[in-house]
Amino acid sequence: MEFTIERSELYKGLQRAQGVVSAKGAKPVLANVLIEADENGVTLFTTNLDIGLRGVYNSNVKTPGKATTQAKNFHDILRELADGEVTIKVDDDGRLRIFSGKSKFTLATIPAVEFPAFPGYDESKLVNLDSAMVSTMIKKTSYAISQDETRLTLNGAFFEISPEKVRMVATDGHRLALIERDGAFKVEETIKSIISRKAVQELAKLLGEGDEPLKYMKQDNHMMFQKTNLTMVVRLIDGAFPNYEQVIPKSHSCEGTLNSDQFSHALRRVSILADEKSRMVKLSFEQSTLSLTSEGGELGDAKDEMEAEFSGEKLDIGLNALYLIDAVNAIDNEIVTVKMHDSLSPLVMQSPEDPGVLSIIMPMRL
Amino acid sequence: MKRFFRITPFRGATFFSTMLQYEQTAKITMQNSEKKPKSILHIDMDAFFVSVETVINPKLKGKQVIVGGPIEGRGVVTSASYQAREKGVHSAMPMVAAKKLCPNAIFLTGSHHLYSDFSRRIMEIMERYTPAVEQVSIDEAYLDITGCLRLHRTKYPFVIANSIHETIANEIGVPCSIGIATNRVTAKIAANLAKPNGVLEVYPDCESAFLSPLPVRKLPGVGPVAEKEYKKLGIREIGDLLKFDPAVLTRVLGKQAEQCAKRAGGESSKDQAESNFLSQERDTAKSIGKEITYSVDTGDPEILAATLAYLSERVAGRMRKAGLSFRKVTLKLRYADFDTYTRSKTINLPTSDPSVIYRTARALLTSLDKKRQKIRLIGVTVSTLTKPDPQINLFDQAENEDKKRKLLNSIDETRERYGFTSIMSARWLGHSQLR
Repeated sequence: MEFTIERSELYKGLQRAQGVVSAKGAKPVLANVLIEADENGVTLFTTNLDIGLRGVYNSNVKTPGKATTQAKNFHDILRELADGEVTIKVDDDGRLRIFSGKSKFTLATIPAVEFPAFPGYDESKLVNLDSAMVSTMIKKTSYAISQDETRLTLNGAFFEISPEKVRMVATDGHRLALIERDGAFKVEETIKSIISRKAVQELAKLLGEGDEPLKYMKQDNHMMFQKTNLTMVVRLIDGAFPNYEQVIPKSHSCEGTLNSDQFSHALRRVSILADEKSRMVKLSFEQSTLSLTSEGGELGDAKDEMEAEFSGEKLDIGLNALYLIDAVNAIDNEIVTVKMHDSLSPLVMQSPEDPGVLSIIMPMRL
Repeated sequence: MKRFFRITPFRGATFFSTMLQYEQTAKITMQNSEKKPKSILHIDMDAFFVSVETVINPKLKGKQVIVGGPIEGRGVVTSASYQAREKGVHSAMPMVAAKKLCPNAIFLTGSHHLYSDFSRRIMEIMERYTPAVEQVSIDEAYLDITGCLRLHRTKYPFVIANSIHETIANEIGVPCSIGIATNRVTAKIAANLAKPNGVLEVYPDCESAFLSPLPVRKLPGVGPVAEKEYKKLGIREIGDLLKFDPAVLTRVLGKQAEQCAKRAGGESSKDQAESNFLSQERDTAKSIGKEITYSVDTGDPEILAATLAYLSERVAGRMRKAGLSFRKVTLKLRYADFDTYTRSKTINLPTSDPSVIYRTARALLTSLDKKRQKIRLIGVTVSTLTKPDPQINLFDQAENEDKKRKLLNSIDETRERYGFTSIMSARWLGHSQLR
């Protein structure tokens, strides 16, 4: 195998690949990047068995071939090389050589046959999705994905696509974030899948690459995403996502309308003295005022007040300040409304400007 | 030469001469250290349950009194009067054996309620002297009086200890023994030596001189098994332990030995000894458990399930009283041949729900009870204790949770007033040994 390529092009590819290499584990080959040179150019493929990322890059291929070498070292070398053309060559001795100006490197390789194969898929089945839309969906929900490794199905975002709408939901059992967007999608039936936290992060990176639409399809327990020269395959989380529709409150008895900025700043101030573990702040709604209080025990306590449009009976409710701040930030609109029933029922946060985005937070016992 | 201890009341020639020996071994010159040493008291009630019974019924005074489980069956002695102890009765001894040693003793089954009440009143007296009271069991506590000497207008911890000693005797009528030292280990050992009804102070910087001539068995953490192991190495006294290289001790006897050696050091400057001791005690307070020894070994699944239900409620009740939730359940099984097994399971969300303990313990029983033999003892312990999480879960029905909470609170209140068996669950109602 031999090819020449622009340093910047190869470096860009290796940077992307770095995100999904396996940390040194049982299979050393997974710490490697598979390099394939053929008439299409150079393909770089890395995988950690949960996520696989493949990218095709322009290059001048002299001799086609395949090899794998440790992704980190390859990446680090390319980072330090001067701009210009780089020649990559694998000789019969199984060594990968890098030539750039007067710099020469020799890297160990592992035969390409040992590398997992990228699953085959039927490109004609790919469905187009608007990249900006998917990007927004991730932004507005991914914060609520559970960090608790023992609850596997909550360690990902639930993605549902039907002919007329898409939905993304994330929850950690204490709060839930949901976004729904209408549209016309070329799917025959509703497709439901749970995409792991890590895959959601990688997908967000993929979406950041230009404005082209994201192509998507589900195959067995995998999901394919394709954008420009990049293809990502994601192994879906097995299992049933909790019945989230059931916990979305159907009615409410009081409603407050708040300025997001003021609310978020007041929360930040008051949460400094909130209990370290529970991070609880008490919200007290009364007529046109919202007061926020926190009790830090021996450390002290804090109180803040802000204007709020409020309808309903006076209500005190305890909530995790961090959950509230996350929700306000994710909704990211000038005004938020909070709808509540009582101090033990879920709080629903929304913005009148974008009712498709919903954040539900379970209160704490006061 | 200055004495490095004092003791009250005077305890007869033998004891005194032993104490003088310590003194001679010590060859201590009291140093005027710049840093004010800590003053830790260890207060331990003498034959607590028996003493309480004697307060209620003064006729018991001076007699052989033994408090414990039922004589028929497998009850054990929980407390014995000094008159009974002279005959060789000691706590944890089977009641049957005690009956053999003291056939004419007065046997009482005792009332935990009464003892708890006395205990609470005694702790209240201690709290008048210092806020730093750490109760370690129903009848013993550590007090740190370093900071309150001036408050009590004295330079001498001994004066405060004596005052506590008298106040408890006058107001409650129960005798106790108090050890005073610069660290907890030495204070505990001193209290033990001061028994019965004495106060013993070990002066600062005299700890190792005081501890050295004592048998290793006196060290907390050294039981009969460890004692044997130490004897093999020629270690009989705490002083011998100090002469050993800690690394050698650890290699031969394991990690425990290293801690013991540190404790044997005893000096307050060796903060390590104290912090280890502290942490060991905190560890034991990190779990709540209860076990039952059957009067007749059983293999009956219904009895085992009933026992688990009963133990779960007992444990959960204590946990709720302490305002805690658990994440880990441990099941202990002892078979007829005394083979003992334990197995634990950790759950995701902390709770104090007895039904969760029960379900977890049942599952553990199914996976653990593989031996085709009858069971002698079964125990349930919860650990990884935390304050209950105020956060309500999205996917649990909050209303149900709340109803359950209210129900448990009412059960607790009723049991607090009328005793544990005032409310029984049907699962263990029919089993008279589960009380």
